[in-house]
Amino acid sequence: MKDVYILAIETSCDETSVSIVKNGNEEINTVVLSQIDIHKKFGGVVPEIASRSHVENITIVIEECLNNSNMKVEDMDAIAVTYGPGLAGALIVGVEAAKTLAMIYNKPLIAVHHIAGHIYANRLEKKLKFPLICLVVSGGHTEIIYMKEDYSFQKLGGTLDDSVGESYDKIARVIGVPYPGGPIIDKYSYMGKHTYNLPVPLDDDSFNFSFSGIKSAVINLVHNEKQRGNEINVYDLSKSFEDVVVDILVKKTMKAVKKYEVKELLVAGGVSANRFLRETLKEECDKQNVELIVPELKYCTDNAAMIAAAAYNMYLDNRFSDLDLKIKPTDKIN
Amino acid sequence: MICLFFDTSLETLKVTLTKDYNIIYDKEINSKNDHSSYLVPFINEAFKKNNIDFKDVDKIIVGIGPGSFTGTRISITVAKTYASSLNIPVIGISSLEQMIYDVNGYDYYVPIIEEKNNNIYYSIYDKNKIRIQDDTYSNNDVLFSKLSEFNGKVAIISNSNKIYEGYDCFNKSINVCEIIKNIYNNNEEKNPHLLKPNYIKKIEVEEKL
Repeated sequence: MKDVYILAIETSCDETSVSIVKNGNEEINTVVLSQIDIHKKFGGVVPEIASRSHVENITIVIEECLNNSNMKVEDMDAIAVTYGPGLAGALIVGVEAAKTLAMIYNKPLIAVHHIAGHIYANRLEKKLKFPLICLVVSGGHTEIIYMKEDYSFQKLGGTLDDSVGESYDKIARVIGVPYPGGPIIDKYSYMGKHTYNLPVPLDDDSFNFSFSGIKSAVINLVHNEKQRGNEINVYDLSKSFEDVVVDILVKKTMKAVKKYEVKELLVAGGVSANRFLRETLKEECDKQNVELIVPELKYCTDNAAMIAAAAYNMYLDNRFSDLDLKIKPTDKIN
Repeated sequence: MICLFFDTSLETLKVTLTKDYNIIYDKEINSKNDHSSYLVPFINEAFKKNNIDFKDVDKIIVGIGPGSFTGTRISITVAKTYASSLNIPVIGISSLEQMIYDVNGYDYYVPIIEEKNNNIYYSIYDKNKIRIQDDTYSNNDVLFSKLSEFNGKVAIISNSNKIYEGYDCFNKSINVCEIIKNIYNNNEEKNPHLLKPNYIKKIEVEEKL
């Protein structure tokens, strides 16, 4: 079969990224322009600033990726783009750029769900073995997904309020750690002890999560300690928080692995870079003889390579979009 | 000479294709919050219907705002992606300037875009349609106290049917051929990568810094 080259664009949040991937698993080149330094001074992603940055950089990133790959748009078999979920003003920049390329070069347009992208990031390293369970953990998502076969997504459960990444960032802000605080909390937790008593988040029979309770508990705790004039031990608080959160994520994920009798567990999304989560899942998977696949760190955060990887299956199925493609900022995966 | 004009910075979306100053495709619809669904399909239709190749355009002229932030970004993204990939010259034109070319015979031309709470975007052009005040965002009192000191006939051209007492008021009408005649050679072409919306207004978080 002829090789398939897909150029993908991802602008759903605060990274402007373009990538070319061959046959859904061989990354030719990926350019990621992160806006993290711009948003840092605001303590989080400001949607309007993200959108402004995307529109200023999108064509530069496209051109750079093509130059790095030594390829032209003419060489592509399709143009793929994240259509949702994400920030509306940010998504629209990627979608308009992709539509324009598809129109002027007469290429098929493929609309990729952002979470499908995170899941398929794993295929850039390894062939996926179905059926499998995927734990999606990021700043915007916390979901357990069952995949019976390629490109079939059954959501078993998800967060009812904050995503896990959000709760990390919010806790970080409360204890004075700069944005994005999640990775720092993870680091701190290795330097502390579990000394603070925090509530266990939604420990029930479902595959759902709830992290707003533990967030409030931490905020109250910090507030009360301050009032009493006591200093917070940020390392111990990080450890106490991470223990409780990772414990519930792992518990529910492993329950899904057991219930659906799968032999492979994928982790996807920005929080899959969390060391303690990786280690704990690895331990559990080893015990149960399940293969754990965690993306390389560079594929954990938002990038267009994962969008191109996911688009490959849609390309094979001729699942193309028309030029009137709309963004869907709150689209669900199933 | 083939020119492609489009603008999505206000409520109406307009796509016009011209050949030697003749309009060969023109579409203007009110698609307010859904410009994204229509812009690229209309551009595509313009070329397909006329059997013109995308690379045969001599110049792209695109509205750069002020207006809706997201709306303006839609056009700008399409224009700069198109222009940079096919090496086509691109010129950005203010949504205010676009309004002045269908009205003639005045000493001053004042295009206005109405915003909330009597705030407006406006600029001022003299009788030769030379800009004497850059695109500005302010309360409309500021403009009208300024205009009261002007001698001569003033035409107010706005995107609403609001009537300003004592002035000749026109509803905006975009005359693409006149725009092309006026700016085709005058305006400097931009590196398409550097094309960006003319927001004018700062966003809240920036003001607070």
